[in-house]
Amino acid sequence: MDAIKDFFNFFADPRVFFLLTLTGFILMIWRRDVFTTPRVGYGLQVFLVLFFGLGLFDENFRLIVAKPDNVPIVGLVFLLLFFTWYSMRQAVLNDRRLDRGEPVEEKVEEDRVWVWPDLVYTELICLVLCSVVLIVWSIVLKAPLEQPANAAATPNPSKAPWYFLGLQEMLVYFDPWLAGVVLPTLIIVGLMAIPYIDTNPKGSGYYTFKERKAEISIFIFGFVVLWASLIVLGTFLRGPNWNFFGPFEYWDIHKLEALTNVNLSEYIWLQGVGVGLPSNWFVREFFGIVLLLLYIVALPVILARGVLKTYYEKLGPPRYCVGIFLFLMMLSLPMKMLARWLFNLKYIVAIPEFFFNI
Amino acid sequence: MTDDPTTPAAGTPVSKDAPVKPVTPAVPPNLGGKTTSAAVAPRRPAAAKKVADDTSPLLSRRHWLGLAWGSFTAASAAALAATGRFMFPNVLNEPPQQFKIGFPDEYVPGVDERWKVRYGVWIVRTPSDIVQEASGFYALISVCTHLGCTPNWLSAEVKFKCPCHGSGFRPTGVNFEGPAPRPLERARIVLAEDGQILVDKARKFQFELGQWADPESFLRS
Amino acid sequence: MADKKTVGHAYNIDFLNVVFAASSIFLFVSVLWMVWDDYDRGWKNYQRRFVQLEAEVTRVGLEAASANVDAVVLEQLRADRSTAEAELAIQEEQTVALEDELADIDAQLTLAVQRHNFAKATYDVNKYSFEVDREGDPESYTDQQVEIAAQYDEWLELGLEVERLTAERDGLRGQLAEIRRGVTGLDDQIDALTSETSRLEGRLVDLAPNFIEDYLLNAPLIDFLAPSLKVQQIITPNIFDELNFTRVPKIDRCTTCHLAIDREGYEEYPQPFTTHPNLDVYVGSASPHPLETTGCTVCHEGMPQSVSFRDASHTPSTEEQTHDWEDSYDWAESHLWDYPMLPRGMAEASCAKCHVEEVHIPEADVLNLSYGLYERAGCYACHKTTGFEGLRKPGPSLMKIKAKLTPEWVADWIRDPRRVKPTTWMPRVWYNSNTSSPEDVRRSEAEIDATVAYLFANSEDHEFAVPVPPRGDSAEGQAIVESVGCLGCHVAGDETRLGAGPRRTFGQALQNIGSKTTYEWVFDWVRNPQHYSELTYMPDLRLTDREAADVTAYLMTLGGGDPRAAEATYDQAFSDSVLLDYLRAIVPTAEANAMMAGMSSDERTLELGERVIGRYGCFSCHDIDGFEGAQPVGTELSEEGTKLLAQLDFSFLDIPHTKIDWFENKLHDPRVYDQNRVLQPLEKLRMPDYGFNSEEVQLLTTALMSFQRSVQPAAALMPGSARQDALRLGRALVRRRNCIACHQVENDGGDYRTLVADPSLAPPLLTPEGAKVKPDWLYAFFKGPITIRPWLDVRMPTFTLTDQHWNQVLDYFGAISNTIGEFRAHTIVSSRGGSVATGSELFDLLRCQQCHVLDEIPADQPTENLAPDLRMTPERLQADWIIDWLRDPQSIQPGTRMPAYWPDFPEAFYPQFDQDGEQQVRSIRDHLLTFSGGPRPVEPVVEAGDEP
Repeated sequence: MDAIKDFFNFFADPRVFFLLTLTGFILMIWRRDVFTTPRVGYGLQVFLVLFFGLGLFDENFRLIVAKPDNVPIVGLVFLLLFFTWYSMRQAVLNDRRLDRGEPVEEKVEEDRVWVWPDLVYTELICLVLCSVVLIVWSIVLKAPLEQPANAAATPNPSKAPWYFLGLQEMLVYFDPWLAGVVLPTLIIVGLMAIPYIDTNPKGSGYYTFKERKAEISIFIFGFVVLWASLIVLGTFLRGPNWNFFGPFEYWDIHKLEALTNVNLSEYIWLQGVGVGLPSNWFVREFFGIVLLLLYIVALPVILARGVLKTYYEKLGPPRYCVGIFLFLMMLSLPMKMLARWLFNLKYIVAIPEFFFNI
Repeated sequence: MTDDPTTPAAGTPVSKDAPVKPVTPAVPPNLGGKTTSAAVAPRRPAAAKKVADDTSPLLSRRHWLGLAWGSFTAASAAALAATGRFMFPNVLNEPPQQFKIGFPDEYVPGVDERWKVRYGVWIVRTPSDIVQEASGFYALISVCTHLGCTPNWLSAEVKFKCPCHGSGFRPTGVNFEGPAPRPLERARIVLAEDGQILVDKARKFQFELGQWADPESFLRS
Repeated sequence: MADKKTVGHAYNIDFLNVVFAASSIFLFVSVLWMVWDDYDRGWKNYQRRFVQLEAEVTRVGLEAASANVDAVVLEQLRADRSTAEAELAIQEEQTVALEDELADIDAQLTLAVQRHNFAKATYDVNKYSFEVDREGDPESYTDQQVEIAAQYDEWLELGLEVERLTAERDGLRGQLAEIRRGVTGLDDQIDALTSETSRLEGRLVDLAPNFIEDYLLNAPLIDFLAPSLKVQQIITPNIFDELNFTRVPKIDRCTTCHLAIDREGYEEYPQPFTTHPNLDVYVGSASPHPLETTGCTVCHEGMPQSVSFRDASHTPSTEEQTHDWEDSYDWAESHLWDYPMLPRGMAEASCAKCHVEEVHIPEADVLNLSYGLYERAGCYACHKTTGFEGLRKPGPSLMKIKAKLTPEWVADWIRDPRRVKPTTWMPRVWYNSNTSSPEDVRRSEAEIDATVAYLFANSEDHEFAVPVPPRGDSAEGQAIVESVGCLGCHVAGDETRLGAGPRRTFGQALQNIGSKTTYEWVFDWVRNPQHYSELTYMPDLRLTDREAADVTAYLMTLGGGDPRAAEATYDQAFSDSVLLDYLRAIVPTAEANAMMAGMSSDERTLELGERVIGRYGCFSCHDIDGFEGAQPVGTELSEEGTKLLAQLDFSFLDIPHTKIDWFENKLHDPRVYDQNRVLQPLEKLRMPDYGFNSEEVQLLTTALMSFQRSVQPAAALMPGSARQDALRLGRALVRRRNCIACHQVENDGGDYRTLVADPSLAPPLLTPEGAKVKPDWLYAFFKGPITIRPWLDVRMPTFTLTDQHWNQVLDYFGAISNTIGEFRAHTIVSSRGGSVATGSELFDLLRCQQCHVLDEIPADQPTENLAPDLRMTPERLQADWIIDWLRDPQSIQPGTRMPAYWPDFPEAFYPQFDQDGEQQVRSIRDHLLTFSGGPRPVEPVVEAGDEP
């Protein structure tokens, strides 16, 4: 029993967890034909049910998962898995139909939409069932009434609401300016910009994967692998002092982890060149700035000439530039996380004089 | 739901290849739920007998729908009642309706204003009450019976005078001046277990209804 | 609608109907469940149960009340009433006629009153406008003036009419009342007899189950109209909950379940229906803490607004109760309220919230004992605590230790003090639970030796006043020690520390003193303590040298003790490494090494000693040379009761997660939280071990919980006054100088009485002293005590207090008797006055001299009956007080043997003054005031320029 728990505790380490979701994502896209079979679909759900159900027998697990604040996130895990599976399944089925030359499902009976009584009646039933679920939930899981807020006592851990847990996780790796302002703004701007960048006319009004491979992959990567899994990580696997704790691990507030981090400039100057840090910030951060510019300016150009040439031509320079910029910004998060995990890298560019760090 | 949407769902008639079922003239086909006029076919008895295309398990369609809408309505009514109940808080941070005001020998005959601000009552000690004809205490609620302002006690003129529209009340509470239609109300006043006077504004006594004869409207002492 | 046959369906509608029906039924059931879940509350069950209990109690009360009513008399009255009624019936015609007439007159009267009112109103208006009109022109408007006068007369006329009619009406009323008097009179008598029983019967009727009131009006959804089961709350106007940036009046809902808390008669019932103990001090409407203005949680803590057992943070007091509550109420520690309820017995910790900085609070026995312990143990010396500033250092001065002790003895002593003197308050600094490994023991030995070396190297010299003291007789000495009063502050025998209490262990324990120090030193000390230590609190017992020698001889026979031997040895290199650790904590290692290289081995030992004393804070309790300005080493405890649980480190201990458990474990073993941890020697906890037992631990925890951040506004606190200040300062002083170990004041103290056969052989009660003794005389007495009761062995020592202190004592006595600031006349009586002669007669008649000393101690009286020398009366006693005393001695000094000669005052048994007790007492007093020649304290003389 303990061996199994240790097993799961191991896999929940952020490094392993992230790798796992990434691998899962790649597998899902690559072998979507297998992923979207009902057997796999049911199988995954059953696995989750067993995992949560049996896990409830462990006290530490129960304390986290059965906390009224966290119960919706358990639901989120199931629902996210289901909807991802379902939409991929519809896409795969449609893709198969397209391969066979048939019209997609959504186009079969285009002149009719079944509203009365099918849609409306089922909506009514869903209304009733949702009400039942909410009422029963509110009776069984009561929101706790805590003591009056005390400025001298910060709760440990202090977790943001679930929709901000992704941000809170990002704050571990990024400077607050970036993680709290720049990146969220880019997320929103990026979502708004999608219709203007994405010129692919295919896939409008029906599920498909093969006609929108890049778009769907990028979105699922950004949403499920980055955003949603960080929420799950933040809910279940982060404990006091924002330390990592496995799902079956006791939340010891005294647990210590080695978290000393080093800036890129310190690596280069102190360890690489072997001299002290230059006092002038520009000289000091020169390498980091160069790296950054390469990433944001040079890399898109290189990609446009090379691997992404078709996209460059299809989208045209303005769209391409905006799109690649957003994409590279999105990728910066996993890359930064990797850099932190592998090299204890704190900031690529560290200019505390202006409160500017990347 | 099914994988293939072109398969007809249950309940619809079979395809043209199937043998045609003979249709008894007494049972006209159910066209989209429309019933025929009463002259054509006799009314079917309700209850257990199902319509021909009724594929409901156990009970008839009518039963199920009746049950469904019945319980839905009942649930909605209960929820509405619960919402209505919600509007009346179980407890309010208000001054209590019932309160002790000290011992009888702390009061001299006359109108005492010490609890007017805190609890909204005047305590009057009288040697002879107009209704009960005995000496003791009564508690007048300091709400003018005209439109609800708080009157002032004018000891020089021996009357309660409401500043809003000029209603005047005798020390007994009886209205004699101005627009007030009826005398001031008295609150329940009794002796508590420890000997203190207990005033209870939750129960009021109105003179015009003859309630000042009630023993709990006057504390004899 | 399209024909469904041709359109097709996504779903089987009949199946959906079933689904819809099922989910609607679920919806209905869940709504009902929701309503029920909201309605069903635990407190409602308690209130329902209480109705039954109340009925029971009322029934019992009714039985008792009925038993008090004389049934025969009641029967008779009832019979009489029936006859009276019958008689009344005969006169019915007459009564009816009278009533008709009365109604008539009433109508006329109402009309007349109306006319009277109108006339008054009109007159008032006209008069007012006349006054306004003629303001600038006093001569004009004379017509109006006449008119007004006429109106006034008219009004008077109408008034007369009203009076006439009123008189007529009253007359008729009187006649009716007269006729009815038979019945009404009897009614009154019956009511008088049965008032209590009818009230209780009415109550029983109210309490009887009633469908509408108990079930219908309390039903779910309908219970907003007029429920009988409702939440009870007390909102305290002056007591607040301190929230961030705001204060909210407390809302205590405890009485929702604790329904009989302020009602007598429920003492035997289980919680939550019990009556509060001590209703005349707490909760009762006549008590200083009435329920309506105090509430509950200001004393008991817990969550005030909650009405559920769990969330209110009830705290179980024993393990058994914990299990019981877990089973019956699903109880668990509340994590969501920072200040859980104080366990039973600790509620007095909250007294300090309003009785701010009071060392003695009357009736708060637990807290007073806690503070006594806290002060005697000297916690305040290392742990800064508000309210305990400026107190003496609890331990003896070590400045002249060379003259008193040997290094070997000191080493054995500080290694483990309680092995040498079991009742000592000195804690054990080494050989504790976190320093018991062999390595630690070696370190400890090095530290002990270094400390001893430091103390002796820095000790001053001391020359004894009598270099070769006489030898005394130890048997005599024992008699003296056991009778003159030493045992009031010192323990010499086998008592335990808690058994003797903080007062009788106020002075250092005398156990094993013979093996501790020399004859010369003890003689020097006993003869004059101030010679060795100027700041000592020990007073001068005015012993002769002979007596001092006897006492010394006796004390030197008290040998023994079982000191702990050193359990390790070490060499110079090792002690150097210990010193290096200390120095490295403050300077870089290289510098530390350099420092040490520059010191000889003796200097290194002394340096280590200094570091060790600095680390463990010995200087907090003892005066030590070189540490005069050093800061206390402990955590400040001024707000320990308000400290949040999250600020306490439970380390690896598996104990319940509450503040009280943390404190108790800490006090039992101060080093316990180092358990299982890997720590450098200088990182370890260093609070020494006092060897507290469970009672002491609980009392000290109460004291800790009482140290609060004061948040209550002034309106809630005790009103300040000169008298309150005098009481507060006086109570603190008599405790901090240990007066109350010998004397009882205000129902506290007088521990000395346990050491003598009869209370009359103990030092006298001081509660009435303010009204009794003249302040000037008392002041002179303090400065130079004389014998008031020559048969007593115990004597009042000479204390070295400043005049400010003596004034505090005098003010204190005055405040107790409420005579503070009163002007007292000096009564002088002429010995030739008539009353004096009668007084003398009575003096002989009542044989006062049988017990009272008058130059000679009366013979043939057991010592318990003897009384003070009456010759001192005019100088010593206050004239008015003597009268109060003679009249009723027991009320002034309960238990006194002074007889009460006037039990039925002012009636007297004796014939003088026509048996007028008042005059008799006065005459005796006058006679007493003519006495003279008694012992008198020397009037202290203050030269100009003297220090006070």
